[in-house]
Amino acid sequence: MKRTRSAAAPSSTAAPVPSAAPPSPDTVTASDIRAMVSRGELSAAREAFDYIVIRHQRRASRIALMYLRDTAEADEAVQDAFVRAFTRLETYRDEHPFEVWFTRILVNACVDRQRARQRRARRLVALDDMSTEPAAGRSASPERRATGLAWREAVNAAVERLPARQREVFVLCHLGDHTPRDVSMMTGMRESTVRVHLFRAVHKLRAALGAWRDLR
Amino acid sequence: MICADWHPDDERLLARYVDRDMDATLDQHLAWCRSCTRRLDAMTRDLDRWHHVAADEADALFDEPRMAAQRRGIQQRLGAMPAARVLPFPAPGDTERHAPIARIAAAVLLVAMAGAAVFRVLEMPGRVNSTALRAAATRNPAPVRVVREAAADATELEDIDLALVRPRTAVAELRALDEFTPHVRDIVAQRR
Repeated sequence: MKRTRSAAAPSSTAAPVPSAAPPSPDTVTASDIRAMVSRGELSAAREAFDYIVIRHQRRASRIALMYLRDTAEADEAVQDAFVRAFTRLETYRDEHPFEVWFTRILVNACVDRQRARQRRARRLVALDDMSTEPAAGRSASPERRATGLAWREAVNAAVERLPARQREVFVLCHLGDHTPRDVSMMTGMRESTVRVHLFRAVHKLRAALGAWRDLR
Repeated sequence: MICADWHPDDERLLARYVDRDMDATLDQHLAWCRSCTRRLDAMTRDLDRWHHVAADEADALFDEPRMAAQRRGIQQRLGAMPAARVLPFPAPGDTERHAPIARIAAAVLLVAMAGAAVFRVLEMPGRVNSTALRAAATRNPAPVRVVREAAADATELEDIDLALVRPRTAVAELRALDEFTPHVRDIVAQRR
């Protein structure tokens, strides 16, 4: 999803992406890194990989945070994903965009961490009320409401309440700025299924957050 | 031709929002239908708000110093990884330097093993005895003697079993076992 697009004014410039598009800069860089690694030039490969990290870490951090709702864990998941991407670079096939391949690794890293957290939570029975909301959200004052913090928390809580598949699709499409086609490649779901999940997620969120519409 | 009563559902409007492909039919409809344009505007506003909320929150938490630290962490982890390349084994230089010695050693070892095997086959006491017995059996068949020898063997085997079962076994009781075991002195005597 591109936020810059005006949905109300139909765009006449939006054209289908040509099938034989030139490789993206990331794809080229990835090929270069692979060649460097095979030549044993690891230092140069790491340096080149840093450019990929710079280009993708912002978006990756957003996605990871939305999945894990914990800054430290999101940070680690992003690091894990980049390290995994580097070590498995030879499995990357150029026909898919690098970003799609990498996001899949990131999502797997996040899901692994979610599962580990669930296992820990099962073992450590009710340490606290174990709320998934951020700590700041537990005592929302009118002042905070005024600053929009409560609104943020409402959005996060509504997203959190979505079924797992719908949340995954919503996060990837909406926060990751990926098209349903990309998300289909990342998750292995059919594109039509992705669209259905996305629609249901948006429908539920609009219903849940309808009360806020007039307040904002 | 679009029917005047036709209006796109929310799913179609959402697809218009998320897709990068053009939807000519919908665009044509939106050009004149104010109601649907308002619906799409409302949906766009909601989606944009949610996006900004999440993005702003994430960007505030992942500020520039944190991102730099994240990059350093990634680089450190990559730097700590062992070089992912396979070392040739044995190393090319070593192969050339040690090849003659290794070949000679291997050849000597093979010859020694083959020699030992041949020696064992030729000098095996069981083989000599069986040959001698077979020869004796064909020349002078002596059933009484064979029966007697078999009875003696059975007695000796019983003695061995008893000696092994007992907790304390005297040296004399192991004589039966000793008699079944080939001795070097016998082999040497036979060769002479």
